Amino acid sequence: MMWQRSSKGSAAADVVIGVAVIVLVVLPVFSAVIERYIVLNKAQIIKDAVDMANISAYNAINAGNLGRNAVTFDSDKADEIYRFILAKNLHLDDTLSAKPNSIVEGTVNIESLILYTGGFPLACPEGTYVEKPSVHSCITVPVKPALYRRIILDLLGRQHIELKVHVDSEIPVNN
Amino acid sequence: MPARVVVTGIILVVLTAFLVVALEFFLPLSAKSDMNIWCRSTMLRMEMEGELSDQAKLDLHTKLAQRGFVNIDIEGVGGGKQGEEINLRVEADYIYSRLTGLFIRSTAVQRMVYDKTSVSRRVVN
Repeated sequence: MMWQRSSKGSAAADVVIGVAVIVLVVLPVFSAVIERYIVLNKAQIIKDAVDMANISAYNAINAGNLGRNAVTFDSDKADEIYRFILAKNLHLDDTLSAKPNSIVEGTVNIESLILYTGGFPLACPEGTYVEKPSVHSCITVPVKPALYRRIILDLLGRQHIELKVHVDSEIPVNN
Repeated sequence: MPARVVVTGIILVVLTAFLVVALEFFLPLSAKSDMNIWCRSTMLRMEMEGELSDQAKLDLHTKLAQRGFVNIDIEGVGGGKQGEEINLRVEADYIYSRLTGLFIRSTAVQRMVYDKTSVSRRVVN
């Protein structure tokens, strides 16, 4: 009789332990891994968009000065092209705020956009050494977590997760 | 004792099903990531060539088809010379099998879109 009661008790304990393992260990671990994977994917998409904007900004090169063997840029035009391409590829409006269906949540902040044309080697503001004509840019992008959004943001005490994306794109020397 | 074996078995089945579902969650994400990488490579070619060449289009189509994409629609808009906008839009269906119940698998179709704009670097003299 005593053995039977013990056996029933063990089965119930197994159920409780099994459910607890799934809910408290397996589920959070997989959620964290999936969440991390999604954020890394988003970071890669943003990095590609920034790289495209960098390379596009290269078109602000002042062709008139090339004849005098000088590589110069029209800074305003470079900024304009950069913003236009970045906004288009990340689905942002003119103020770089997210449109519906954008992977961005909130407003993108351009921290730096620098075109390096000479005096190499140089260090960009993020510490990377630049040895060839390049476009450097760094932006901060607010993104939303994909799973358990509210819980993650509450734990972090923030409105968004902010990704800092820094890309140095070498200007192609020839085509 | 038999009850314990049954309960342990059920827990293992549920746990396995959950692990399979969790792992299968990565399939479309991984496919989209590959699609983005290949489309970005095609964009780089477009930037240099000023347009989407037939060869570049065929290469991209082949890679996507080999990865399991169907109904692939590739559209490249390019002006040609330096400074003009170029756009690549790729739409495709990714078909994969996934676990939808404890012992039920079904086919899922995920529409994936890549739509990016850049500027041509092709110098036309």
